[in-house]
Amino acid sequence: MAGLIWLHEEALRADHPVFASASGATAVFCWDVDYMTAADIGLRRQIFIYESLLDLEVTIIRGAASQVLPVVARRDQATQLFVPDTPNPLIKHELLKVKAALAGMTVELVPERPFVQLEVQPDLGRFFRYWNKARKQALRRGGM
Amino acid sequence: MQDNTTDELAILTPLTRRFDDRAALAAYVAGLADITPPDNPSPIIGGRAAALSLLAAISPAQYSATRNHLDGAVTRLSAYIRHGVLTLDEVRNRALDVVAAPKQAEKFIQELAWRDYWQRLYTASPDAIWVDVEAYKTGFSASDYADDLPADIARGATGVACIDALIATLLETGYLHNHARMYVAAYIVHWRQIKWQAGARWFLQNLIDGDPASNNLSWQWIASTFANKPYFFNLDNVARYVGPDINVSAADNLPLAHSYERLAELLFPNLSSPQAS
Repeated sequence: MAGLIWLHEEALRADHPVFASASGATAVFCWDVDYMTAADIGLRRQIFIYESLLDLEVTIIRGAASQVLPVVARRDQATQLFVPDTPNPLIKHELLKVKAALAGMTVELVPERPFVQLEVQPDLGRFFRYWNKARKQALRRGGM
Repeated sequence: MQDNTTDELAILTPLTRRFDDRAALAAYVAGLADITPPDNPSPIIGGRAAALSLLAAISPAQYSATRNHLDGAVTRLSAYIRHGVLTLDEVRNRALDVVAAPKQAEKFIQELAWRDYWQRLYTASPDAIWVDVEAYKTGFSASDYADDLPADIARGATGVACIDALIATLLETGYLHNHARMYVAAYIVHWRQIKWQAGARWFLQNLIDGDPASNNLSWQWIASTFANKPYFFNLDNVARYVGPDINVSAADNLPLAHSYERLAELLFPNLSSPQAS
C-alpha cells in the first residue's frame, strides 16, 4: 500500500517518528501562505522553515494541504496518510478538510518522542505541580 | 477535462530547492508571500546541521549561572525545538552527557520542562490559549486594557531607551533573550495597559521561535492571568542584566526609573500591596 506523509512546520527533521511509521512513503510539505498568515508566522520564520526543509527528502508544493494532498494521493494511488501529531488547531482543522477530500484513505497521527513518560496526566494548574511529578523522569536519559 | 488536468499538473509542480545563497532563498520565500525581502537575513539559520552545532556547544552549568544576563550562556535552540528540528528529549540527553551528575543540569532541564508543560496545556485545551486563563490580578479588569498594539511599540519608538533597543533586536534578528522578552511584555501590559493578546500576537509574528503555547502562556504569566501576581521590573534590574550596549540612563528611561514600591503605586493603584514577581 502506498503511503503519503503530510509533513508540517512542527516536525522538520529526518528522524521524526513519522518517517519510520511510513517507510517508503512520499513526504509532502504544503507551502500555504494563508496558513502562515493565520498562524502568525512572519517572513523571517518562513525563511527559517524553508531553509530547514532543504535538509529533508520532502517535496515542497505551494497550496493548502486540502488542495494539494488529494491530487498527490491520486497520482501515487496512496491509501494511507501519515501526519506528525500536533495540538495546533489550525493544522487539525485543515486535516479535517483533507480527510473529507480523501474518503476511504486511512489517516494516522504519529506522536513526537516524549520528553517524559508519565502514567498519569499531572495537575497542570501551575508549573511546579507538573514539575514535582515529572522531575524524576526528566533528569533521566529518554525521560523514562 | 483538459482544464482539470492542467490545474492538477500545476499543483504538482514542486517549489525549487536550489539557491545560490541565503539572500536568494530569502527573496524566493518573500516572493511566495508577495512581500518585500528583509534587508538582512536572520542570524538563526534553519536546518539540522546548524541545530546540532549549537547543541554541541551547550553548557548546562554556565547556563545555570548566567542565563538571566542578556550575554549569558543561553543556547538559542528554541527555534529548532519549536519546529521539531530538535526534540526536547535529545537536548535533555545531551545536557546529561556533558555534566558529571544530573543535578548539575537540573536548572537547564527544568527550562526544557517548561516547554513540555506549555505543550501539555495546549494539547489539553488547544483553543484556549488566546483566552485569559484567570482574571487579571492587577486591580484592573480585562476591559481596562486596550485591544491593539500602538504603532510606537511596533516600530520600537516608545521613547524608553532600553525598551526601544530590545524591540530593535527583536525586529532585526527574530530573536530576543527570555529576560528581554519579560521586560518588553511587562512594559506593554503594565506600563501601557495593552491586552496581553496584542503583544503575544506581535511576538509570534516576529520571533523565529514563536510558539503559540509557550509564547501566549508566558505572556499570561507576565500579565497575571496565569500567575498569582503581575510581573514587573525597574531600571535597576534592567541595568543589572542587559550589559553595556543598552542605554540604561534614568533620563532616557524615566517610566522605569523608580523603586519597586513606587512602581507598584503607579502601575497598580487599585491594589493595596502588590509585589514584584
